[in-house]
Amino acid sequence: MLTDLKYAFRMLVKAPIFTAIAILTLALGIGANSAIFSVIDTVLLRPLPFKNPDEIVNIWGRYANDSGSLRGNVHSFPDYVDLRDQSQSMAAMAAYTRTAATLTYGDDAKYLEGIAITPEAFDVLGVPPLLGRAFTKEDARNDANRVVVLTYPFWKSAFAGDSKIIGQQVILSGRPHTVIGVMPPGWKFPIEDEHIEYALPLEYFGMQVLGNRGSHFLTVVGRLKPGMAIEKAEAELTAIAGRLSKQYPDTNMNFTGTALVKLHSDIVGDVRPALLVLLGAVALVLLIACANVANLLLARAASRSREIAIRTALGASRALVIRQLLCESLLLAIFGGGAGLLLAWWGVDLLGAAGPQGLPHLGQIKVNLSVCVFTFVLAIGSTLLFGLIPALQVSRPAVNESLQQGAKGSTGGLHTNRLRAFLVVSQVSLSLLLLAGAGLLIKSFFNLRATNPGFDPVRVMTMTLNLSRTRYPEADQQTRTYDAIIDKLAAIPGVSSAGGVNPIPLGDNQRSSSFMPSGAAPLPRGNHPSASYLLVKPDYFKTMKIPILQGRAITRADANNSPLVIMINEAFAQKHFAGKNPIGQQVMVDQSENKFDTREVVGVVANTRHDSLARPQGPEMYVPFAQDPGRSLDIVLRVSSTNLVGLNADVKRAIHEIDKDIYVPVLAPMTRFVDTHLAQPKFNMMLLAVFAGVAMVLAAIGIYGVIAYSVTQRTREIGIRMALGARRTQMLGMVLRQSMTLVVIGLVIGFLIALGATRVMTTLLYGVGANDISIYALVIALLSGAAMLASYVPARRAMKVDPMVALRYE
Amino acid sequence: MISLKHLERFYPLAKGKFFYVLRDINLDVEEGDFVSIMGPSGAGKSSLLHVLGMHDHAWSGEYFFDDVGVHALKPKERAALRNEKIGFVFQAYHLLDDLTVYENLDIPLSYRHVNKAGRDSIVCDTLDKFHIVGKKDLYPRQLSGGQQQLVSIARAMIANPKLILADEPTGNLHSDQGKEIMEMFKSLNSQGTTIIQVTHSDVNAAYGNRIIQLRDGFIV
Repeated sequence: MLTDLKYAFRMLVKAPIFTAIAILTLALGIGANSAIFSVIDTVLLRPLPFKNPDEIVNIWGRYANDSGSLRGNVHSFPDYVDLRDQSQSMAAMAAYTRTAATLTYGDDAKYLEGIAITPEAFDVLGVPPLLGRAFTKEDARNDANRVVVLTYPFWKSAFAGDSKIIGQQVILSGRPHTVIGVMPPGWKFPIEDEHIEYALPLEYFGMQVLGNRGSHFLTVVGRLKPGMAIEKAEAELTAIAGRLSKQYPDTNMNFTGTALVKLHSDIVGDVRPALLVLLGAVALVLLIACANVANLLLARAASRSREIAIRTALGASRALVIRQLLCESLLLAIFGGGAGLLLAWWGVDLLGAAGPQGLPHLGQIKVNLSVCVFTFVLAIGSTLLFGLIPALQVSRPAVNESLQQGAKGSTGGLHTNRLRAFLVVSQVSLSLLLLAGAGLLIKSFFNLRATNPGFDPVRVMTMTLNLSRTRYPEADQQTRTYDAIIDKLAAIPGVSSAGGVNPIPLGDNQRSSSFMPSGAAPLPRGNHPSASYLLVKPDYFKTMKIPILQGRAITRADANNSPLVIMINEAFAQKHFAGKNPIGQQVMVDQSENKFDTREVVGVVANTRHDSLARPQGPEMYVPFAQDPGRSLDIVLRVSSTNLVGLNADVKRAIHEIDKDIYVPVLAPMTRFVDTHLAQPKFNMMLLAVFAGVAMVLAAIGIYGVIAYSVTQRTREIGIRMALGARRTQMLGMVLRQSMTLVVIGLVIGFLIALGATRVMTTLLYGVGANDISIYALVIALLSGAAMLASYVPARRAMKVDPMVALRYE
Repeated sequence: MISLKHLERFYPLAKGKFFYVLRDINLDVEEGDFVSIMGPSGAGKSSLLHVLGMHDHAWSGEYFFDDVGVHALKPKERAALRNEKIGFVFQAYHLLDDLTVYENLDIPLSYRHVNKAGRDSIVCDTLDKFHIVGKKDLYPRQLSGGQQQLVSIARAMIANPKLILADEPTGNLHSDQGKEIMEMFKSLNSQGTTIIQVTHSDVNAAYGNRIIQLRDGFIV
């Protein structure tokens, strides 16, 4: 065996160009697989950083609505408490929501993102703090002595990893909080959020916020009791939801049940199809690469048929010949695998950097031991795939024939040619499949990018401001301060208009409220329709260039003590005021404790895509900030230039002239929110396009190799034909016909496979069907062009065959 | 029919030197001649045959075929002239392995744009004439060497050429088969076909009416 390997190594060194092409081809195929596997290993296969993560489930609610059934992980606090207390199947259940605070220290302030969770969360997640302790139910009840737990990265960056921080007080939104714990590195909750810096008890929100059973804003997560089946737990919680529905019909009539989803599946659910499509794509690239190398080996083995015949004549068994040939393949695969691993090493950094945010462990993607093992297995598998068939083929016992053929310099047999033709057909069909997939994603991406979000994000800068709870407890203060801030900002040179909104479009925060439109048949409160609920400052629509279709915009005259008004979007008007003039109609927006605000519709604006670029916007309500103020507001500035030199400083100075303790974050262009929404489809598109491009190049090289080999093999035949009167163009046509016959067969097979296979991509597509004929036409034209080019080069050689030389072979 | 004047064929060597394969060839061949070209290996016999067959264009001098100056013709015009007037027979037969006897005979006609019905008729006549009707569906590998050469001659004759160029047509055959082939050539010659053959065999050369000796590229 060692001798075989030594001999194989010598043979590879003797043919450096063949060796280099084969290793490079395999490196591309194996490298792409290793890189994508490293993403899948990290994102899909790696367990979440919690104790027994398989027991942790997200508890979704099922809600009946007017369009059927809706699922949402948005519960009210009283519902959560009932589910938690009545459940026997769950070991622990916790509720949480995102929160934010301004940390003040000395003269400076910092905006922090955090999570408000019930104390049970630490039992659900099962991870104890690195330092100190987690908060308890007693801590949660004791609002007077507030506590906070810090995340490891925040503790490291803000407090330089000082362990004496435990027991010290920090000022969050103007109130002192005692730091009682620091979570270990890698602890992140919610797992998909990169920016959580602290956790505090949800109960600090107070019963005024939490006590309303109709106020659904909490996400509920639980840990199944050991050995408990998820279906059984779901049935039990659904039964509890049913009881609550009967017990509280006003608020819970639509709360029909629960759906339990394992936390890991829930997080990766959105990216799983994309990653699996990409894994399928790279597997195809590897298959194409293997077909290419198999073709190279066939051509090479055919030219070695005399050597093999001599070996056989000298007594080598077929198995020994195959072993010898497989040793060469194995060496190629090992070198190809090694080079592929290097490519993957470099590629995963790119994947990590270009990958969309929100994937768990995205920053931790690297080539680790399991990726190395995967690559090694892949290399061995590839050896069998590309090495075995050629080895079996050329080791067929035909000594006499081979020796005679060898003497005449002729090469290849009918079987070998059929196999090579089969490999080319396979390559073409697999490439078509990949190109079709990439084409669909490219069209989908450009459709998405061309989608009009309903506002003009160009030259709009944004930032989120938070006022301190202690300094700005009153609604009037909040309104006045933001009015003053917006006036100051609008006066900055280069700022043409300034406004505010909460929440900002495409910012991943959504807020909705139930309501009743005037003139509609009365419904129990739990059955009220709901719509997105946005608070806006005057000039918001002007700043964002959202057209006002009817009526007027909100102005500063719509103050706290003025009549309550509302603006609605077109979708709202069409759905709830169909056939009526919406202006002057009334909308009763539900408030806590069965109260509601009656607001008069004063304007209708065009639809904007607030939640997602891919989905048309549903009904929206725009309420004047002054009539429902809060401490948080997203500022939007339309600027004459996005050149930020000086603008950030001007903005900070203007705000600090009003209150130097307000934390002023760096301005972010509005286009970034659009880009973030395009990141995942762009990532999918780019990767698949790259893989499809590699596949097409490999297929073209494969076609070139086969046709070039065929022309060499047929030199004598071409010479004879020319001696018999064939014109050079006829020879060109003959070779191209041979090549294009294989290509057309490959295209037809590939087309049929793609018609079925691209259906798995439906969830990744936007504005384009999986069987979009224009994409297939384009892809077929592209692949045919590449194949034609790849065939033309060797076909030209056929034109130049000199019959005199060709016939002198004998 | 053929007239060569001061024809030379050479290959350029390094440092501006040339290697001459044919030197100052002056040759006239009349219609109905049966010429045998002889000489030791490397004398230029096959090269002369390829020049005559218009496969080779890299020569100097004058070449007239039926009073047409081949030297003045463009490659396409030479190809047309060759297709019309010349048939080839090779030592190694050069039948196309993957085509049947019938298809091998059909090929030269297809390159001369003869329509399908016409081709079928000519191929059938030729099969009959060469007594190989029974072999029409066989592949070359299923034939003996003599049979393959017979098919090769039939193929050379199928387009009814005025001239047959044969490069050692019996070189791969044993003597009985060789004799049969030479008889076939003689018969064709007697029917008016001009034949020029390259041969090492005095016996085969005796079938012709004229022998040209080549040595080091010169006619001696």
